Amino acid sequence: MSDQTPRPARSLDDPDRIRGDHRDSTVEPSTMDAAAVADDLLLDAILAVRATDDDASVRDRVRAACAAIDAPLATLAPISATRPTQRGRWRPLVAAAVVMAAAGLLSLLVALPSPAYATVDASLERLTSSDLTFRISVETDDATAPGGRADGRPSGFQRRFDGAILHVSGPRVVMLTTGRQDALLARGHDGTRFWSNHLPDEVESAISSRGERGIPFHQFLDAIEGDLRGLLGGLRRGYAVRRGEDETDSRDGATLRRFTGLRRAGVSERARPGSSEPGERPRRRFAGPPERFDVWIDDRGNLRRLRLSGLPGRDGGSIGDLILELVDTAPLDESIFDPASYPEIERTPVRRDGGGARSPRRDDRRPRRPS
Amino acid sequence: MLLTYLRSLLRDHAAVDDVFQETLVTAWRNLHRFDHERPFAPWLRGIARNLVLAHHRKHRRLPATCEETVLAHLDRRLDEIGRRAGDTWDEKLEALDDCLDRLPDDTRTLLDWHYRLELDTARIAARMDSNRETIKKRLQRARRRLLDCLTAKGVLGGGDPSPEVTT
Repeated sequence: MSDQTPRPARSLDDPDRIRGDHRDSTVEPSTMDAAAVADDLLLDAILAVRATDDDASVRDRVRAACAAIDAPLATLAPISATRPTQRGRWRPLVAAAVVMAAAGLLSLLVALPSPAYATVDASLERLTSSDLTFRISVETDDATAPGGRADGRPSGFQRRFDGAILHVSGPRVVMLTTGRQDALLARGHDGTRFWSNHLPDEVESAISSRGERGIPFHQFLDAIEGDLRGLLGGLRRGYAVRRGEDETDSRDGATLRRFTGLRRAGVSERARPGSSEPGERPRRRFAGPPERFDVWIDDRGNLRRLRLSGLPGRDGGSIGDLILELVDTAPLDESIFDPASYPEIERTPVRRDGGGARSPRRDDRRPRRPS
Repeated sequence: MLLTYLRSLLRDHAAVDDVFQETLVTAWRNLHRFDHERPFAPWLRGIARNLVLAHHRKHRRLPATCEETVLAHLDRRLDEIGRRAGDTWDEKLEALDDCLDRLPDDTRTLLDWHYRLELDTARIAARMDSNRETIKKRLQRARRRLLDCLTAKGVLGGGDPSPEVTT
């Protein structure tokens, strides 16, 4: 392991006790030789950085350094003095031109991003910073889809989401509409809570993770919004992204850059952002991340199409592919994300952020329609 | 890589952030002194190391983890990883995923609690109905197993140090 003769490190106090810092040290220098101490420190740091630092936080650090570079050294306040208790709050950028030049250099020094990652990063971020409307389609492999699609009938997953329209307007503000039996079924998240204008039995199915009725709605939202952002954060560690051949959008002839992400070996549910704390009931979403994603991005950086392939079902098989096609970028009226805009069917909060899923049937076993 | 280096030498998140920023600022201001014939990462780590030592001196404490032989070995290890194929740090450490998957479930849970949920050993011990020392030992053994796995996969311990291409 080491190319030098191990010798005991000087016996100093346990850094835990010396420093009194808040990170709990499990490295015991006094009982190990220097090489072993270094190795243990390294693994400790690798695991800590890997678990807690996503690309965004690294970018924040670089930006903060860039801002600092532009400021006279004497005027610099330590980062920790400006935000003593939290990471992620940084000084605003100043003197954009100089900072951007510095950012270019320092980004290269710190974490050289490949063009593929950078491009996909930027486009996925637009999903939560722009008003976008997508049409959803679902493709399933009849032979493998759970629920037995041998008779050619669409799977529950497909019935639920194929043809749906998804509106996105900033972080955690989304709405999905599907048509069923001549009714407009709307489900959304207004930034603070999930809501649905569905019948309670539909909501029940939406919050239930039992059976093979497809992906529950809030899980779907998590996948679109939360998991997509998770996908963004975990892009580097979870997927090997490569640029493919350019394609042409048949609708307007625009040239689309295509990027394909293939899940790295070993990426599993445990490593995904948003997993529940051990000991708690798992907040199941999909049974795992997709095997592959493809994104098509136009020359303005808009994500025109996203395909999540090989979404695994709970039985280990694939439940199909989910495809989002950008159909509109027009600004959306914020009222459409408000459950009050859909009075015709009683609204039922499905789940509040930070709380567990709540079944409306617990409170009201009978479906209620508005009078 | 710089972040990992600082995390290995500083336990306080705020200190890591401060030294990270200071390192980049210092590097930027002294870029004209950098010998472009030489690899960049060790130069940057050299700046970081000096700042870490200054940080400890300022607080009148020089932990064993900052002993010269420890720092030298840490440098070698980071050079080894830096020579791996891949554009990014994560890519260079891709084998770690497989190594983690080879750990028993309870060990992975332990690592998850400690690193992702940032539970300290006392809280983990309480949850596992164990004691803090046992948890520390288990974490240490888990890291040791990961180290052995990475060594077996050639990520660590391979070849002579040579200039790395990327940071």
